[in-house]
Order: sequence, then C-alpha cells, then structure tokens
Amino acid sequence: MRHIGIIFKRELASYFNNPLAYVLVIIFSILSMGLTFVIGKFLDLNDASLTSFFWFHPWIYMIFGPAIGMRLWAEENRMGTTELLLTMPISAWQAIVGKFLAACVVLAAALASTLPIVYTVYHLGNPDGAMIFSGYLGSFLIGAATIAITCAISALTRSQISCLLISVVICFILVLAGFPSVTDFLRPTMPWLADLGNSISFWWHQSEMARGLVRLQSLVYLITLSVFSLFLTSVIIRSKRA
Amino acid sequence: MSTPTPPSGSAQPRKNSGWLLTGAGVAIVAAIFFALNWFFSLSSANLDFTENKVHTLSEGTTNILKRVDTDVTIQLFVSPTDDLMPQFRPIVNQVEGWLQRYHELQPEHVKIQKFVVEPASDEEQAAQTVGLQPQRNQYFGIAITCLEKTSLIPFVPALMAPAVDQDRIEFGLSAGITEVTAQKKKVVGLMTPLQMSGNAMPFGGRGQPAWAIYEALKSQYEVKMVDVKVNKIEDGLDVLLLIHPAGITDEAQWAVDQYLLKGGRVIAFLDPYSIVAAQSGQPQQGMPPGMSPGAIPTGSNLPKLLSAWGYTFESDKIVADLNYATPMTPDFRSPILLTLGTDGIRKNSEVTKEISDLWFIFSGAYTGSPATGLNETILLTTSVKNQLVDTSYASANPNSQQGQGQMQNLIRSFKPEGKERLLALELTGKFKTAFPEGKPAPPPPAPPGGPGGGMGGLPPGMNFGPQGEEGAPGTPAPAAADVKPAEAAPAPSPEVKPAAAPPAEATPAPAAEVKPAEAPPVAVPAPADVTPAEAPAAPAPAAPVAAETKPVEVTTPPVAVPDPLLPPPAAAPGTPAPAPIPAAPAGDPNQPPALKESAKDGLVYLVADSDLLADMLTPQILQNSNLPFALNLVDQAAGDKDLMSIRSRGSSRRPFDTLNNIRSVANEKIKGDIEAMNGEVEKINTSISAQKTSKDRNQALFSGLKEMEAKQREISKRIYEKQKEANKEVKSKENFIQWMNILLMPLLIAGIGLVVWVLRKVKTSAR
Repeated sequence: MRHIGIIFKRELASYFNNPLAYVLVIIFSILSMGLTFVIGKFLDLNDASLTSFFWFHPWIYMIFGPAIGMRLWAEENRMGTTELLLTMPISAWQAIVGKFLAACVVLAAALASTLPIVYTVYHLGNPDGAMIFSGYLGSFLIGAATIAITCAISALTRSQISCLLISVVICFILVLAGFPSVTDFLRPTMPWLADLGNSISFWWHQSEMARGLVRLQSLVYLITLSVFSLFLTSVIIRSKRA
Repeated sequence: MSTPTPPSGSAQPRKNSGWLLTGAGVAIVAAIFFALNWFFSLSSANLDFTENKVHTLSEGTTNILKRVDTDVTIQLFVSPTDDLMPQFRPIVNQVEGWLQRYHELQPEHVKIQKFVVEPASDEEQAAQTVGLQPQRNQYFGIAITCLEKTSLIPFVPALMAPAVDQDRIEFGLSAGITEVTAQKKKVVGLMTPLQMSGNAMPFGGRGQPAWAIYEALKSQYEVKMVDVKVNKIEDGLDVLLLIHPAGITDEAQWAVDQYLLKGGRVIAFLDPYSIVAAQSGQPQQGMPPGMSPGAIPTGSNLPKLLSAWGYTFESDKIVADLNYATPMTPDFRSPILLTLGTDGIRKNSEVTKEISDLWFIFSGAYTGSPATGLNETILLTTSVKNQLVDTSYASANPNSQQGQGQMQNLIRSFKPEGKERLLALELTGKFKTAFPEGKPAPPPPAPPGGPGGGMGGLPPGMNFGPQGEEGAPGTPAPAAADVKPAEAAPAPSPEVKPAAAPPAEATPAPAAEVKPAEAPPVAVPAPADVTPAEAPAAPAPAAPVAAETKPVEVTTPPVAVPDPLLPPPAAAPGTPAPAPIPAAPAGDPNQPPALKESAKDGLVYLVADSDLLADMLTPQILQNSNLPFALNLVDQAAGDKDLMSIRSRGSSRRPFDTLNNIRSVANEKIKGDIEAMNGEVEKINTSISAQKTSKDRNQALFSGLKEMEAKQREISKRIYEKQKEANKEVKSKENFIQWMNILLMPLLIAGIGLVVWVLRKVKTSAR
C-alpha cells in the first residue's frame, strides 16, 4: 500500500507540476458547462436536474479520459523508464494502481470544477440531491473506465498520440454502442445486438445514472471494465519485462 | 514491445510456456469479465436514488402487470429529437425508461415499440392509424393495444403539466393497460332522490331528459340506482355516488358506512339548497290538473357519517363569497353563485388538474379536519372573503331589483370569515364506523298519505313543496314578490301543495323574463339567444347584457320526481331508469357482523353542492368544467385500487422556481400597462373599423384614419418594448448564470495554476 502511495504521489505531482492537469481541467470545465448551457439550452429546459449536464459527459470522456491517461505508460516507454521503475522493489500491479489513482484524482478535480452547476440548480429550484449524486457517481466511474482503457493502450505504445487516437476510437465505440440512434436502428432486425450495445455503452449507463437509477449491471460493468483494463495493463507490462 | 533475444535455445520453451500461461490467464480473466457482466445484465436489480423513487414501479403497477395474461403492445410515437421542443426532450428518455421497466417486469406479454415519426413517413401513417395526431406540430403519443382494444395517451408532455406536482407517466401507462385488458364495465351505484335518469310524463306530457352527467356515466359505467332508504349496499359496486341524498335514513347511512369500511369509494354531492329539489314540488308541463310530483327536501346532509370523518356540513346555510361572486349584470355580482377560477381550484389532485372554471349554485361548505387515520386532500375552496348565510338568500331572484337589493345588503353587511372554506375535499385512509353502537333501528313506517310519506326518505316534519313551504326546515318564509299569476299553472292538487307563491321575485331579468309558477325559486340569467324550452333560467357568468338581446320568456321545465300518488312514470325513450336496488329486510340474521373499521383504505370525495351537475338549469354547466370535474371524481374513484396507489407518487419534475418567479413578477409589473395599452388598441381598432365603413361617404375621415392607424402601431410598439423590458431582467439573470457557470471555474483554476507556477518559479530561483 505504501508503494502504491509513493507512485500515486509521484504521478500526481507530475500532473500538477506542469500545466497539463490545469489545462485538462479547464478544458473539461469549459466543455461540459458550455455544451450544457449553450448547446443543451439548460436554462430553457426549466428542469432543476442535471440530466442534460451529464448527457454530454460520455462524449467529453471519449477524449478527456485518453488525454489524462495517455501519458501514464507511453511516456515511461518512450523514456525507457518502465524497466527502471519495475526494477524498484514494487510490483507492476502497485505501479499501475498508483498511476491510475493519480489520474483519477485529476478526473475528480475536473468533476469538482463543475460544482457551480450544482449550486445553480439549488439556487434556481429544488433539485433531487441524491439524483445529482448518482449522476456524478456514474460520471466518475465512466471517466475512470476511459482512463483504465487508455492505461492499457498506453502500456502498449511509446507514442502518446497513438495512444490517444486508439483510445478515443475504442471509447467512441463504447459511447456510441448504446446511443438511441444506433439501438433504434438495430432493434427491429437485431434486438439482441441493440441490447448488447446498451450493455456496453457508456452513454446508456450514464443516462440511467444521471436520472437517479443506478443499476447493479452498470456498477458491475464499469468497475469490472476498469479492473479488466488494469489487469491487461499489468499483463502487457509483465510481458514486456519478461 | 520488443522482446530480448533469448540467450540460448533452452530458454525458448520456457518463454513459450510463459506466453501460454499469460494468454490463458488473460482468457480466464476475460471470461470472468464477460460472464459477470452477462449475469448482471439479466438482473433488473437497481438502486433508485431519486427522492420520490420515481424509477421504481409502484406496487400498483406491479400488480397490474402481474394480471396481464394477453399480449399488450405499447407503441411510442415521437418526433425526431431535433423537432421536439427543448423542454420535451428530457421527457423522451424518461418515457423510454418507464417503458423499459414495464417490459422488464412483464417481458412475456408487454411489448414495446418505438417509432420516430418523420413527416410524411410510414411511421406517421402508423401513428395516424392508431388515432394519434400531431400536437403543436410534434408527435409524442403512446398507443396501448391489447387484442382489438386501444388506449391512447395523445400527448405525453400533457401528463407532466408543470402546474402539477405529479409525474403521471406511470399512471397514464398503467391506466391504459388496465383499460385495454379490462373484461367488463365497472359499476357505479347512484343514490339520489332526484330523477336524474329523466322520465316521460303520462298523459302525453313532455318528458324530462336525463341529466348529462347520468348519460355520461351510463356510457362509461354500469349504473345501478340505490334507494335513499336502503339498508344494505349491494356487493359489486365500484363506486357509490350520492347526489343530494335528501331524506337519507340512518339505516342508509349505516349501509354507506359499511360499504365504505369494506374498501368502497363514496362520492357525496351534498347541498344546503338544491334548486332541482326545490322545483320538485312544482307541477310539470303536460301534467293534468291536480297531479303534481312529490317534493324533495332542499337540503341534504350525512350528519352521522360526516361526524365520524371529522366534518360538519350545515345544510341550512349557503356560502357567500365576495371574491368568487358571479357577474349577473355589468353592475351586479351575486356572491352566492360562485365562479371558481384557478384560485379556488387546488391543482394538487388528478381530479382538479385540468379543471379551470367551476360554477357552484348556492353551495354549502364543509368544516372540520380529518378524523384519526384519515388523510385530507383539499380540492376546492372558497376565498377568504366568505361568509355562511341563510338559505333564504337563495330564494331571492338575483335578476330582480329586490333580489339584487337583498344581495347588496348582504354585501354591505358582509363579515368575511378570513379563512377559506372547503367546497370539495378528498378523504383517504382507514375509516372508522360512524355507528359504533351497531346498525340503527329502522324508522317507523310513515302513515299512508301522511307527511313524509310522499317521497322516499322524507324526514318527519318535512313537507311537500319546494322551499318556503310550511314545515320545511331551513327554508325561508315567502317573501313579498311581484309575482304575476301563472296562466298555465295547474290547479293545486288536494294532497300536494304546488309552488303557488314561491318566494322568488320573478321580475323580468335583463335578458329573461321569469314567470313565477314556472320558474325555479331562484331565477338565474340564461343566455338570451336560447329558446325557452332549452334555456331554463340560469346565470351566465360575465355575460354582458347585449343590446341586441331580446327579452326571452324563460320557462323552466321542472324536474320530475315520482309522486307516490301517481303510477311510476315510464322511462323516457332511450333512458331507461335502472331498477333500484331493493332494501334488504332489517335485522337479517344472515347478515355478516357490522364492521367497525375499514380493513383496507377507503376513499371519500365530498362536494358541497349538487346543482353544479344539473345541466338542465343552464347550458353553462355543460360549457364549463362542472361535468368534467364530477366525472373526474368518478373516474378516480372507480379506478383500479392499484391505479390509485400510483397516483399519489411524487413528481420527478422540478422546475426552476426562481426564474419562473422572476418572470411572473416581471409580467405582473407590466400587466396593468399592457392591459391599458391593449384597451387603447381595442378602442382604436373599433374606431378604425367604424371609419372604414363610412370612408366612402366621407373622404375627410381618411386622414384621421391614417393617424389612428399610426397611433395603433405606436402603441403596439410600446407594448412590445414593455414586454422586452420585462424579459430583460430574466435574460440578464440567465446570462449571468450561464457565463458564471462557464467561466468562473476555468478562471479560478487558471489563477491557481498561475499562482502555483509563480511560487515554484520563486522557489526555484531562490535556490
């Protein structure tokens, strides 16, 4: 645990000692708020809930998650420090978890930057606090899953840009799979595929949780997806070390 | 990714086996990952985080769906998202969520189909085939089909009207499923001494049509008449409707009590002064001289039952309300005829949600609070400027100068109550018996032909004839009236005193002349353009006395009530009166023991007027919300018990109250100015119209016309500017909120980043 803490602190410092984390958080904040207010016409909806706000999150995470996670291992690979890191008395698993948690802190900071909208809905109406919490929970889990996927891709490559592009494609598929236009198209002919699309789609899980409905299926999927991605990262790093 | 070259050949098998092991490990973990997710995707277990558990199907819906044993198809027809108004877009997801849960609960029989309706597409054709039409140029409706039955929700957002604090999507869906899967009509018991089913007069007399409410009930339910002297309510009634149950016996109250304790639903329209009952003693057109129907007491009450529920109803007092007074003439408003607008109608109930205007005629009021175990929902109230007054005011003709003088006196000496009175309320919960001592003894049989023997349930001391008859409690003494003798009035029968001189002052109304012998005791104004036969005297709220209206002689066909001295009247064609449920013999040893408390939740609706249903009094009743309100009550009460449990759930809609309030305040500020300017525009329009017709005759007016048109444009522009000004505050607040949300945190974070960078720079340079 101590080793995880050391890696976590080191990684967190590397995020915040350069402008990267600040820039990412600022971009996330502007994108999520801008889309909600300008495109989503939040104030015209006359609905003191954050459903429309969370609606955009999977789309933002499609890029934001890979942007946070792309440097986790690709940078180590490029610098050749992966082997060095793993010669230290820590396991690959501890290094992976430490790095992942640090990235999750950046994600949490980004989400925290959107808290003014929570104040806004409380100021304008009488929102359902628990529903807002479940929306944030869903948003965080999906963000963490995108980071975990990026982490696995990052372990495979030395190029951060390659990692970013591949991760964005994977995340895009995972967002789009449950988008209504896609499932509505599939359902008449292949209903099973539409259901599968919903099951694996970040969009579908987020839309359910944003409405205050936390399905056990969503929790299991998002958590196991992150764990599985981190496991793959571990396998890739171990195989490289071998 | 590059792997080091093995130093020797012996390392190759080890490496291969390592890859194999790794591959196997990944495959196993992947298999676990997919298996876990497949397993949990089958589960519908979830946590409903919402405050009102809006995503959890209620027990009522669960029960309804459990009973579904035939395929039910729910088709959602919705326009493409971009074509929907922004505020409706979130509702689409909400509806889809509900439909998904219905399917999950009954996957075998509940099928969901969604159609995105593009203009001129097959989907639009399908929508129109099931009976859906675009509303506000958008499709957003649901068709629920089972076998050949289809139930429609024409426009889903209408289920979520912002004024209503209820999310009724679940209710709409469950009600639709119940409707299409229902096997037979529900049964409504109707307890009333009034001849609501209409009748035909013997001897070629003109019959009385059935009440509109009765016809509406018959089309939707099986209606069974229940006698006001019944001592047991027949099993199988879904709703018991009491309309002015004048003369109800204690035994009958006990029967109602027991019916309610069994989980029954009771709707009572009581009345301190029923005009229809007051008319009941008057001879009817076409009736031979000497023949007259029996009279019904003008007041009705359920003293024992109300007392047990925690309420009282003064059946000899009517409520006067200065705020809800009905305009009778441009200069006179009657405070005892109440026009309820949105202020008096509480929008917190399904039955009042869509109700906008109600008209109460000499209404009473309920006083009290619910007894232990009961929950009260107030549906209709008076304003705070109300006072209970004697029923004698009801007998004053509001169209006569004397009647209006009497009303003016009342208004001058008015002592406002200072708090609202209850005109209609809902009681739910576990009711306790009103007869803890058991079934009351049956009343002694009335002597034949004696007082009270004429009408079923007439209490001792109550006499025949309308108000003003001797012995009728709570009715005024006949006032000095400028009454002309009625030419067509038949001679009084020896047994039944007709309303020879009712206290009505039948002076000619601005639009109607009322003949006393034919008019109701209270002649209320009727629209002048209706024929006498169609237009009984009735108030026309806010109806101006138009110059072109001609005096109309209004004859009010009295409501026929069976006279014990006459053979039972034959039913009017097409409106057969259902046979009353016979009264069971008292003291039947086979009767089950009396219930002391309701085993399951009961439901009671109490309304303080019955004339609001009497459409024969005035066509106005058919034009305002009176009948929809009454039918809503019955629909609600007859609704499935499971449906009722769905209705009370909380809302998922939470509007931006602050912004809405700012909008309201801003609009209120300019309301007076806008009205004044609209008035000016109206005047100018009228002037322009007048001048346009005379333009050819007088060219000189042309320049004036142009001037006035310019003025009209100027005022319209001023109105627009005012509205713009009013919206300015809201817009500025919205802009502030929007940009604060978008920019505040990025600027703050950038600031923090800058500070950290500067601090680091200072620290580094210090080294």
